[in-house]
Amino acid sequence: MAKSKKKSNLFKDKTYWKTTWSRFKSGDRFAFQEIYSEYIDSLFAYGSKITNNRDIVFDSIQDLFIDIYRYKIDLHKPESLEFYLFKALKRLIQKKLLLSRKFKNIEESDFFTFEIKFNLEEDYIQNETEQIRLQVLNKALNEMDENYRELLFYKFNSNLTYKEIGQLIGMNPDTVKKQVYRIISGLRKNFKNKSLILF
Amino acid sequence: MNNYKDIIENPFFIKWIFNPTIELDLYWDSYIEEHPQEANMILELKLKLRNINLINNMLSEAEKLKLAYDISKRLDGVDKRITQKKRLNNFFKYAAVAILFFSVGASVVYFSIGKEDLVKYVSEIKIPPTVNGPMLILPEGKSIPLKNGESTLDYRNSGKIVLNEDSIVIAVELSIMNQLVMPHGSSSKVVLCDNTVVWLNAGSRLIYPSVFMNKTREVVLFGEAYFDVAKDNNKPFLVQTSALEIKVLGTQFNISAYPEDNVIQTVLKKGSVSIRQIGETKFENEIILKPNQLASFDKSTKLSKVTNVNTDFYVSWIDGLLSFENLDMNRVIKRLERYYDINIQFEDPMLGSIKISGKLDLKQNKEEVFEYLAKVSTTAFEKNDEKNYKIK
Repeated sequence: MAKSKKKSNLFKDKTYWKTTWSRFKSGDRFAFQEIYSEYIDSLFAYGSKITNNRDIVFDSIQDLFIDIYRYKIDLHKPESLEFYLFKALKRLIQKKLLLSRKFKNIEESDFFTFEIKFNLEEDYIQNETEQIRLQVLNKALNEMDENYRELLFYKFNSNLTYKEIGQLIGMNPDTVKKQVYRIISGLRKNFKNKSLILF
Repeated sequence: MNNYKDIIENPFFIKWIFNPTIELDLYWDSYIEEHPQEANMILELKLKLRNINLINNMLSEAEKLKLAYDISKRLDGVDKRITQKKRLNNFFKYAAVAILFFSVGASVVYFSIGKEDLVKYVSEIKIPPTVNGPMLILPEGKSIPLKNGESTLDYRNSGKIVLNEDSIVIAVELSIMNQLVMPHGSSSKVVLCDNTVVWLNAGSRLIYPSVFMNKTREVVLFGEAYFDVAKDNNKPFLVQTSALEIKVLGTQFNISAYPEDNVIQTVLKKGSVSIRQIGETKFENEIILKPNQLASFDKSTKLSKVTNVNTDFYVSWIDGLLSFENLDMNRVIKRLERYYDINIQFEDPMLGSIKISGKLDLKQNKEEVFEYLAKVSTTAFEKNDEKNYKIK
């Protein structure tokens, strides 16, 4: 009993954010601060993965908050705040990209690139064999299908459910789940058996 | 054995690995204590997953601030339109608005040690719209007025702050963020927990933790400060300003980054520092300063210029002296305005470009200083009232 109480104080859940959302819509700037501080890092990281154009990401994040406030957008029943923010930001950025493409003031490289780079922390590398294994692992991660990379981004950077992740990348939730397990167990095996096979 | 899946499905697991906080550490400590049979699995998974480091584009604290400020401005705009339409007397709304975003200067509170601390800090701290005097602001809305003129704060005894060399001792939590605000007319010397000494000039703010708990020692500066950074090769010292990040290992340097000035100046006296434009990730755009060099960063063109200088001209203010060589009268006057908390106007703007060389002892009576300056520049200072002067 005491433990569950402690948990709810420490970790803000879906219901908590839903309330905060309504507070924001009704004009409470504390609620804005709270949402902003909680999600700005992942929203920016997410936006930067859709386009390299920083200005578009900045503008879209601004529009996101203004739209919520101005149009008093409601969360539909099963939606979490986080899911809504990701979904809406993706839409806003894509709209801006299409628009600027019309006016041709955008480079091809600014466009829909869901690029994820992985970096393996060198501190952990102790010997040469380990180093080689890490290189192989890194290569495998980088060669993954774009959708899978996007999937890993969500899994590691958000609290989205498999269903929500599936909706964002147009994939069956079960497939999402399986893929996460495959990646993680591949990672484990790779270290344990010194085998170089991943996925 | 498949129970690694259960661990992965625990919503706090991935969070713990990629965005760890003290609370999450505690949670998993007690979880492992209660489920010792899963301990190995958890630790193994943690170690392996930690090897994957997603490279995410990150915003600097200053950029986050700027963005929050821009959004909040636009939200205000929406509010205005709504009230004009409905004439709602929703004073509650404005009461909330008034807390954080009065000015760029006041919205500095977003700086933090970690993400979780950030949330705590932002929601707990309250800043008065304008400070009447020098002040130390702590989270939970606690603010401690400091004496006018010069004050000292010492953080070397962990858990407490010694104010003005032992006259007052304040107990603080180790992890909290401190915001030191020096309005015009006051300045302060801070000894941080790592023995780094910072002189904060008039009209400036410095944000820093009571104890540096991260891999880097980070502080945020708005305005001007002179840093004598204690050497620690394992923990670089970072100063964030609105547009630049200055990184050092152990050294002495001065930064002038007043929001109202278009140029950010970094002068190095000893050691070495590297300067990076915030948002810039390429290393080739970093500037490495050598002793006796000045880097001037132009905020509008985003270009930097490095020149050799006599550092005394830039750092003597910490001893209450202003010395300069061929400096525009404009800049001299700006410094005097900040130091004495007054306004000085030029009758003819051209007077501002008179070049001045010399030394001013600011501890003297200000009238004496003005008299001296008037003589050197062949101008005349006219006093309108206590706070307003005119140069003819």
